[in-house]
Amino acid sequence: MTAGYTEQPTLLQSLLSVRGILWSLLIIFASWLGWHEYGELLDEHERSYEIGILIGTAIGVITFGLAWKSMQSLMTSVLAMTWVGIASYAANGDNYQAQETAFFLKFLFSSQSAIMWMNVLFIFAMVTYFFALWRDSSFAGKVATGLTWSAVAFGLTGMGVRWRESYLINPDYGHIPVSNLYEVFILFAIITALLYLYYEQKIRSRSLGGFVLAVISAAVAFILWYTFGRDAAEIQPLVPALKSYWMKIHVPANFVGYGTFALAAMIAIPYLWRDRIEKRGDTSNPWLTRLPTLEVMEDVMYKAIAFGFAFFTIATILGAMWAAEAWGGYWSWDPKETWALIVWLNYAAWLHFRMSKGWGGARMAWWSIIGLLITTFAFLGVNMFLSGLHSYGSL
Amino acid sequence: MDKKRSLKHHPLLSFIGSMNLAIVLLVMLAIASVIGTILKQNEAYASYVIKFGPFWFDVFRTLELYDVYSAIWFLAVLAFLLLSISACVWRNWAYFVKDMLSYQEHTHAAQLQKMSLSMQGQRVENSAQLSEEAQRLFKKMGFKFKTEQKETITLIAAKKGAGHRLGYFFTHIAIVIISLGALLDSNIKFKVQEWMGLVEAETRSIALTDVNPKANIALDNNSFRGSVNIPEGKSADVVFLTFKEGYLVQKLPFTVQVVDFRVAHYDTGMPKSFESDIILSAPDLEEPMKTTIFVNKPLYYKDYAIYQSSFGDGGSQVELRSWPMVSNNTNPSILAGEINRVMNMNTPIGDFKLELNDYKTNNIIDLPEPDENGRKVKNLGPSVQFKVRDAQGQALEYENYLIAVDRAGAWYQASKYRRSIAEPFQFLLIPLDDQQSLNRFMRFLALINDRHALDSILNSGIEQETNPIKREQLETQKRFMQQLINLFRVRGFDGIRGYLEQTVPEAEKRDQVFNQYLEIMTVALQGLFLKTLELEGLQGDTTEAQRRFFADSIEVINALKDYGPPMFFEVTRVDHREASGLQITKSPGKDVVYLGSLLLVIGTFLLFYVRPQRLWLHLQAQPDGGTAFIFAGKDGKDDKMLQPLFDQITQLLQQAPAAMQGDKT
Repeated sequence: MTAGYTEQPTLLQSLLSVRGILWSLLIIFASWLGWHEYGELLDEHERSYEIGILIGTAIGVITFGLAWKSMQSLMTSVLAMTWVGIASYAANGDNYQAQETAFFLKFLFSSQSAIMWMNVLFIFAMVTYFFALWRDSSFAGKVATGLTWSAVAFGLTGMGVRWRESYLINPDYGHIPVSNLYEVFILFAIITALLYLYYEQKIRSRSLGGFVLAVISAAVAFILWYTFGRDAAEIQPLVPALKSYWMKIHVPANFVGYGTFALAAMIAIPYLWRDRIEKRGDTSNPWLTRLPTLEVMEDVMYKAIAFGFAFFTIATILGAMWAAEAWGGYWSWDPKETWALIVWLNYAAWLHFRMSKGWGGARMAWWSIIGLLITTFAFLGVNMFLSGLHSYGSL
Repeated sequence: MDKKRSLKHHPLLSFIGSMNLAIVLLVMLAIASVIGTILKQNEAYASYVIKFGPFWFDVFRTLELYDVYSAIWFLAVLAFLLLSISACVWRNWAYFVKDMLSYQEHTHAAQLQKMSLSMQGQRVENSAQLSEEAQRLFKKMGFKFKTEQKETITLIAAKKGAGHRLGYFFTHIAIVIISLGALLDSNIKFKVQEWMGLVEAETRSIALTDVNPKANIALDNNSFRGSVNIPEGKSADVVFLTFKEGYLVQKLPFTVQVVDFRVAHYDTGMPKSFESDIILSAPDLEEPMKTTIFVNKPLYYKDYAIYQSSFGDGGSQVELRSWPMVSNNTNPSILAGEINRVMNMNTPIGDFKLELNDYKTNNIIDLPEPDENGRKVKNLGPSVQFKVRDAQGQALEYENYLIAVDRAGAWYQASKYRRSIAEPFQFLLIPLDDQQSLNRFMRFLALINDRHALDSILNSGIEQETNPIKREQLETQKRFMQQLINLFRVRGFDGIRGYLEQTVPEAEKRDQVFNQYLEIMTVALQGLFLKTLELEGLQGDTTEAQRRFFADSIEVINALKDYGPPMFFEVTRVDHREASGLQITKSPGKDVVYLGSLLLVIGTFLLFYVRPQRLWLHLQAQPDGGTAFIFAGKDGKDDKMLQPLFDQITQLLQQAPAAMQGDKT
């Protein structure tokens, strides 16, 4: 009887496979190379924290790749593309202006080009996902998935190369590109897309892609307006308050939260749509076969919000710890902090109603859409309408 | 035991611990927070009066909306929330702990059969054999189990994921702990003292020794957050807390000395970092603590933390030249002043106060067009900000730059000025001579101010004239020209236009007359300018640069009517002395808050990612040596999540060598 019991491979078993070992070695090598080449550029006061963050990131990426195989191909491509970008700069004497002339930089891998590719691919992906849903075409669906993966790869490459570029412009300026509204919008698009791709594989359905890519495309529209309307793509030096290793962990953790909240809200739209069809009793409606069941969508919504809530909690706590070092207090009732609390309270209430009161159905879907509005205000509205300590990302 | 139970189920406790109350409180908290972000907090009362008018100002003040986060009602909401969560934990803990520890090994067969994940069947193996195998399987799957034997019946009760319940405790207790930490760091003590009339804000900027004793806060204050500016080389043992419409003075148990303060800049002129070398000495320290603090790296001492938060001027020494602007004197007087000090000036035209307010090392301005290096900003260099106040108390605000500015190849002394805070600053650009000094302009200005100078130019023409009538005409013309120039000097072109409005009734003719006057005046002014050049030893034809200088000077003189004081202050030297802006806090609750935060994170993950699951295998030995079994399972959150595992085991149970196929209920 026991012999028949098969287990899912554990992380350890994945690690000890040939593929797992190669994957781990690749990431370890890439981390070592990064440290070897650029370790000296990091702030001397924070060297030990930086080493900790690098090791932590390497372990995180390895684990992530073991748990989700698709990450391995993605990260391998991103590393290769980023390497081509950085090496092209090096081949041109580490001159920032080389992006105007060197082929690979001009057309593909300078941060500006890579991010533009990301923008275009995301928009194509959205259109293709919707086309696939409309025509019920599995081929178009696969293309859309491919486009989304490519967009993510270009986005991550753009971020990596931009990080290097900030040092090329002026070694004094160098910093991880998560310091202003332009950069975090790119981060938001990438993280939301990755989260979506994960659930796409889990639920084995591509029908939600267009909806999620719609919010990403909105972010892309903002990036485009911000780039061309406001010249926001220019790399600026950091204000003293942001010069801290905390930025590397606080900001990405926050955007995992924002990304999942956006994902949940976007899935709520097809959920409500299907719910209406079902309530009408229209059992022959073709959309019923194309969209995932209400149960599946509700489950993704719940899982996304739970995951995002956990990360948002961590991000807010990390933010408080950073604030304690930079502003002299872990909590200052600064508008951004306060709105983060409001967002946190909102999702805490959402989760309570689901877990303790067993709420579900359309009202929770509506609530997750409202949640995204609150989150958007915390993310963007505060920067636009309220002033405070968090004024780095002002519009 | 019974008493306890009845207390737990007391209606009041049920109400306080109910989720409905918690939700109402959370909503109140959220609304209050929104108000606090929309209405700018802790501003001067005067600005609220302007914004809302006296009526609403009073309403909002009564509601304590200007400092929502320390309002009594806000703290009350927080306190109730704390009470509500505590009651919730209190009501549930016993049941949860029991549930966590229990294997539910007394579940009856009938109950098992009713579960949504349940199946039964028969196997040929005897129950001991099956029990052994099942135990091995449960163990492999990470379940803990307990076996209960009663006559022919064996029940194996297995459980997994008890941490889920722990997650509930962790998250809820974490909120209570965080709130308690925040309470330790709150200003409740002040609030109480304020009610008792023991604390009053000081509103005047006065010496420390004169501060209202009620605004002096003793060492035993448990928590505060204040700031202090310390000039280089100086030290402080107090910190200022903003409070109501003024401030309080908080005594510190140590002294902080700022030895040196440094600011580094990026090539754009933006500050890159600022840091202070400080020495902290306290009676209980054998050796003073010497360290460098900068943004993002404070110094911790006991419950106190010392942060680099800003910088300012610590009394820079300023050397000035005061050029007279309304006399024929061309010699500036030399003044020595200090930033943040007031100088009294007695001049022939009255008494003035010169208030030196600030020295800035960099002035970054946005350029309308990128320069040749592609930069969109320009650094105008250091400047001194000051006010000149007349005997009536009227003040004009200035900012004079130390470095000449280049504009299309010519050099200028820049000065910014405005008459009131409501107005934008305007630039005055005084042309500089070949030595990059103000001498030529000031000499030219002095000649314009000097009646005799003009006389001497005009008189030469008159003296040569022999015809007495023509002489008389020329004399009249001379007087008119003097009037005109005087008018221009005092009121600028507008003055001349105003004069025309009074003397020329036909509006359409005014432009023509104005141009005639301008021509006459320009001839005279050119004469004075040539004389200026002559005084410098420059003769012959004027150069292009000199003509440009003349035109620029006329423009400056035209603007002087708005510029204000009868003198121009040229900053010749600044001995920079910086002050480091420190923020000093005492926050004994910080570690408590961090502990709560850690619990919260662990709890959140336990709640979301640990699934409380139970399995039961109920075996009943049959007379034929075989066994009848019931297999059931339960997931604390969602039975669907247990389904795959349940199905897998079901399959195993149904496999040969089973004598009979189990039928799923």
